[in-house]
Amino acid sequence: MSMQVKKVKPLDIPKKGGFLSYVKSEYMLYLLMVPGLLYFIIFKYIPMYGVSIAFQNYNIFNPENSTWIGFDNFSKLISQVGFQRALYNNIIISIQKLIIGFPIPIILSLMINEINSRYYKKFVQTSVILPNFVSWVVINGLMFALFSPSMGGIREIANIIGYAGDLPNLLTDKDSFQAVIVWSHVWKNAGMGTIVYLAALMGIDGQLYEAAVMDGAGRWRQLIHITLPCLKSTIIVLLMFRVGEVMYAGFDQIFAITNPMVNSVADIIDTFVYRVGLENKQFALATAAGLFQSVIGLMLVLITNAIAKKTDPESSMI
Amino acid sequence: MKKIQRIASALLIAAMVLAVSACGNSPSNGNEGSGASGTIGTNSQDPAELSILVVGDNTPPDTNSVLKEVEAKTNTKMKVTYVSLADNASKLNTLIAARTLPDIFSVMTISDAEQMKQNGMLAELTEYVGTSSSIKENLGDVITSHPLNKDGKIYALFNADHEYAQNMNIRTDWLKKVGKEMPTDLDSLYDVLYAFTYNDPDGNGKDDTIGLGASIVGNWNNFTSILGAYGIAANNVGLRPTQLDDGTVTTGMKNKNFLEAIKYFRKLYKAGVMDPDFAAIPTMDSFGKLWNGKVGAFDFQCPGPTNNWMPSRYTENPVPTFDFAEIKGPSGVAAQGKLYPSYTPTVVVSSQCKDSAAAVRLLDFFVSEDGNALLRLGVEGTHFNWLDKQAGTYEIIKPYDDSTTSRNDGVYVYSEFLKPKITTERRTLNELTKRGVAMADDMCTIEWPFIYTSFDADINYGANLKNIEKEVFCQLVSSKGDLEKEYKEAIARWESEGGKEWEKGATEAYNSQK
Repeated sequence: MSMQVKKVKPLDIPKKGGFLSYVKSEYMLYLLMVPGLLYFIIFKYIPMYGVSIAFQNYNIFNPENSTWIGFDNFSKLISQVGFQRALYNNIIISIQKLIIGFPIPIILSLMINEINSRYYKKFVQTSVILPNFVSWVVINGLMFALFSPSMGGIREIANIIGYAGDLPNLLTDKDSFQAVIVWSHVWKNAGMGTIVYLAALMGIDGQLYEAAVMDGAGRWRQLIHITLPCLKSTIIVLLMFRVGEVMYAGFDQIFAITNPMVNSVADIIDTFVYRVGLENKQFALATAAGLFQSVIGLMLVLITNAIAKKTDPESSMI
Repeated sequence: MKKIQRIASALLIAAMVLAVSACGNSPSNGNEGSGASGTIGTNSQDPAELSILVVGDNTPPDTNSVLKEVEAKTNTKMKVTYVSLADNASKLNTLIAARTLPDIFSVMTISDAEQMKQNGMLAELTEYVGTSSSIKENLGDVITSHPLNKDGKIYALFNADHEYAQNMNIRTDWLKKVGKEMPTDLDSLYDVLYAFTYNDPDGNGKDDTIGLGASIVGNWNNFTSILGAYGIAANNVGLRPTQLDDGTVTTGMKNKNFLEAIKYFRKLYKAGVMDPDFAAIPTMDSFGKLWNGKVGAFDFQCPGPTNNWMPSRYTENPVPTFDFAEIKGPSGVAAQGKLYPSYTPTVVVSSQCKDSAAAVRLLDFFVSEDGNALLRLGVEGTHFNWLDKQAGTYEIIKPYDDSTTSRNDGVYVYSEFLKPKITTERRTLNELTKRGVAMADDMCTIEWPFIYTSFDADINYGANLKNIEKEVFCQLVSSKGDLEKEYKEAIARWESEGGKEWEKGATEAYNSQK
């Protein structure tokens, strides 16, 4: 099957005056870019100055007297049992989220795309995206109201059906807590991912499907040979984003739902940084942990990008 | 078209300028000290603007009657920020790092307060305290015993009243229903808790009650009496340190009886007679279980269950009845940690405060008899009327007999901030509660190393080590594995994360106090 590629006229940059003249003539477009640019400068680049704290013996009471100590904070950090545990949990939770959470929006969007009834389709779309707008604090309350073995909804249902035995305490059981983290993450976020894939599905040329039907392709063949290849670029870009976030296992979620009973399996780098920095005033150690996390995250993005570039040059970001 | 473009450009620029200015000067976050926000009127008639950080679980609106009355009586304009005890440390540390401390706030550890003083963050109050009659009357000469005030210059104020000790509050109406006597030791306590859990004490035919209510999310109050029975001192903020035979001051986890206490808690947990949600349930929700008739025993300072929450918080009709158990441990003694002077929370005034005199005037009002009565009972004639002020009897005016309504109007919310020697609460307690308070005070016999000197390891590791203690307690209580092995690992972790340094520093600090 060959596709006709329409040639797009390159941007009409006037030769006279060069780039600045072009900016002047299209200043409205550049003006629209300014708020975004300012956001990144103010909230992302200027605060990077604070990274220097990671290399200092920083004292929040008297920052002027902080001294440079090189990589001492990193050595101290890596030797801490708490950090080692947080790093391990971080990787395990993130990988679980990636393996389970990444394909589900793709599967959901493909399923929703197959729904014929317009109203039912809208209803399902709305239903899956709604949890995305519920905060983790509220979700924690909902989970507690549902899973509490003493007063939760499941206990009530068990009582109604006459079961008086013990129920697992999912929220305080170390064996089940990571599953709670992963599945509640999937429940909350799958909807938003689905919308992205649905948008990509909308952009697939309908003629491809018509041609495939003419050639005798069934639904499954259409999925394998048209839908998934057309989604490939979107999948790779989103996978790259996701891999870049592997070092960020979800502070909002874990901070809201964790408790001392499950800290050993739920403490991640972000919660470690919060505790060490804001609760214990060890800002230098916390910054070192945050910097370590960012550098690893950046390396992961670059590696994924390089792999994407090799497999599908159009999907890579840089 | 050009015109539309110009208008759009102007709007975009305006929006950007607004956004940037809003980021740079967030006046609504309520965290600024008066250094940033406060403008004290040059005219002495103008109210002094003061920002204050209040720790607690109540967050009434700024328009509440109690706050308005305090402002009127002290000629101040108060800007109050509320923070829960669990979030207090992170909030205060953020404010320190941002140099936006409120004018008046309390510091939970001596180490932090010392650091603040050394770095010029606190205002010296000597001059103003000298003319503050209520502060002098309540703290008197004791004020210079505070580590921050040792050199005779006053930087710190603290509660003149000591904290309440804990009571094992037991529902006597449930005791009758299950045919049990008031427990006196750990075995009889277990029996009572078991009966409360499985013998349907509320008589509704459902398995919906729990023996011991507990939550460790906010504080440790709910475990104090049982730990005390094993000779381990604890209070609301956690385990007290312990001193080993070789003189080393260390974590309460190294107390020789700690593992035995854990085994007892574990027995309660495994039998389902202690709230299985204790590690996850928020403090207020655990109170709710008591208020809604779901738990029959609750380890907490008795002015809560038998006085302040009685009767409006309770949903059952008739309201539950309580008495207090003295739980004797293996050594045959019912005990709790000794009460020492309440140096923490330390109430301080920021050096950024533009009117320290007004700040001290406000604090002086807080510890005055009238001030404390206003903070604790509300506005006379609006929230309550004295029946006999001398005898401490009063009636609450409707609708403020409902605790939620009264706290939403500021009643009780600020009364814990700085307490006089004899608080209005103590003077107005009912007879049962007075007896409970006296009984708990008498049990405070466990010696523990009270350290009121700042040391480096405490500054660097103290908060993290406290978190580890809480985590270890929860994990050992719920452990399904080899308890001894997990305990050893927990101690090793505590030591590796600064515990060893803390032990050394704490021992030196404690010895230096002698």
